[in-house]
Amino acid sequence: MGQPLTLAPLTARARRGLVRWRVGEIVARFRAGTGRKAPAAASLPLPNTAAERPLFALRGIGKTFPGGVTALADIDLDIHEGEIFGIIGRSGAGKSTLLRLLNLLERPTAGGIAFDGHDLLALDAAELRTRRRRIGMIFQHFNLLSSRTVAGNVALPLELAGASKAAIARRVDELLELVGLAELRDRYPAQISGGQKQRVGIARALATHPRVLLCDEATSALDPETTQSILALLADINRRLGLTIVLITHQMQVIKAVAHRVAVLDAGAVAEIGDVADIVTAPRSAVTRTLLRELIGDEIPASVRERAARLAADGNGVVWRLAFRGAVVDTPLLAELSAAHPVATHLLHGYIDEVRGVPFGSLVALVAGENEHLRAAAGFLAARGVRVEEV
Amino acid sequence: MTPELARLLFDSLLETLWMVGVAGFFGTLAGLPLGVLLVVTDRGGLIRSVAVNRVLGAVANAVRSTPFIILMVAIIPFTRWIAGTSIGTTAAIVPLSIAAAPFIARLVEAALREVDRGLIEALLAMGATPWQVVRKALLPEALPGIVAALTVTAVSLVGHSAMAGAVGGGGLGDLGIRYGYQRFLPEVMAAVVVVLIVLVQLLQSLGDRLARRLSHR
Repeated sequence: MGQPLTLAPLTARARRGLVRWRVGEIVARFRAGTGRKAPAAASLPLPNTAAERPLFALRGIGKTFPGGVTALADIDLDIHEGEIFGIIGRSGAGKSTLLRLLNLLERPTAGGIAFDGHDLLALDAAELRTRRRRIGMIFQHFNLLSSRTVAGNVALPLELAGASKAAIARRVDELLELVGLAELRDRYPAQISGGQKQRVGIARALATHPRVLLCDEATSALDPETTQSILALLADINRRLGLTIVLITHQMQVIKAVAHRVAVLDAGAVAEIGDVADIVTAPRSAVTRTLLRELIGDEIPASVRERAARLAADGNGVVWRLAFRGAVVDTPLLAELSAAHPVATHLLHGYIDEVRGVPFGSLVALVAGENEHLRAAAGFLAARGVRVEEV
Repeated sequence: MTPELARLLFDSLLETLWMVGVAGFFGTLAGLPLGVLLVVTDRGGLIRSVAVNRVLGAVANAVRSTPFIILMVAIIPFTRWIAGTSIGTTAAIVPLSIAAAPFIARLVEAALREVDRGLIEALLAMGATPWQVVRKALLPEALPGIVAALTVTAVSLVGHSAMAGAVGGGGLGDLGIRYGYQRFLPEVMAAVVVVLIVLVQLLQSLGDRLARRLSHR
């Protein structure tokens, strides 16, 4: 013991810049759980006054997996205390990796992350573990221990943190009450529904009084009704406890239902970021529009599109998608359009909704008329803040 | 069946149970941690260390690929050092334990790998140490699988212990060879086989029942 194990693969590891361990160190590390310390990232230009300091500050974050796949590149992101921050993207966009960077389940290969003003990458393993207790996490597949009851699962993080039996019992009761599962405390995960499992997951994640809750596709394995109830619970927790929530999802519905701000991720980069009301009602990037299309459902069926195209060809018309938001929702838009300009509108699809108090909607219509009148009509609509897009 | 034969069978059964029980105990004592180490030091494990993993894996394979009868004879000096003697039932326990340990380790390794990676991730996210992940998640979640592994080991130890006669080990196998084969008493051989079959059946159903009881999936 104590002799360095110098086998070929180890030398290769050493060449790749990894630490070479002795057997004794491995045993010690296993008992203490101290991991290797990552090389410190370049110092971060971070805001450091508490008032403007975000809870999470990501600067120039990149993640390239061994094997050369780049999951994330040059991500800058601030997540503020008390907000529900959504990250949306298609599968493979890198959102899961991004979320796992926030508690360092994945380490970035470039850039820096600060949590509550502390450089996460500079922490040693023990400090990181303490810090992780302030960062709760829930998962798509719940990740509950099948060998423990509901109460036992909720108690787990408290046991890990070394809380006393009495303190654990008190806190578990409190948490089960909060998520409405007091009755089911002695059931095993296999005996409860998916929605209930996620409630256990939430109770477990809140056990150590975290500053933030990370949600990894938390509702993707649930039916629509259960999804709504879990989202309502998350919104409620955010309101009542002032808890910051970061959630990733591929469903715009989830973002629309609970998020305050959202980052749209595409191919490992942020396509756009902003208030949910702005992003949903006035998307700027193509990927956001595609994601919204699933929410709005204004894809025109091929047969209708063909007929509209024929009509358009016959009578100098076009098919327009009109996207609008705010007060214009309350005006008889198409009637006013026809009154002001000699064009005929034929409605193909209409949608109206509301996000964080802002009404928004879209109309897809065949608009027939002379070209010059169509141009004038487009100007009329644009003047009222309606985005006109040819379909 | 004569009372003498019954007496012989009963004594031999006790010797077999003694050998299987004690070797199973020591085999588990060494094999369980070895199995855990094989999992946690592997690529993607909790404390990745390819070197340690390869060394442990090679040792386990070496022991497992040595035929038991050869292993038993080859380690006689070691057995004498540990047990004070190289013949008899107690002496047979030493090679049986050594053979059982890597066997258990590999089965435990397989059982631990069945545990969902998401659970490990969840515990790490809670701030668990690698040891806490093993103790609070890996072992409890794999317990039914580990019990099944120990059942298989016990059954296989019953088989191995039959060879213990080669070092004067006693037990049912030894009885069968000396009385049934060498003295040409087929009724003894038959009785030994029947007792062995019943014993294995009992061990297996006991293990199955325990594994089922422990599983909450």
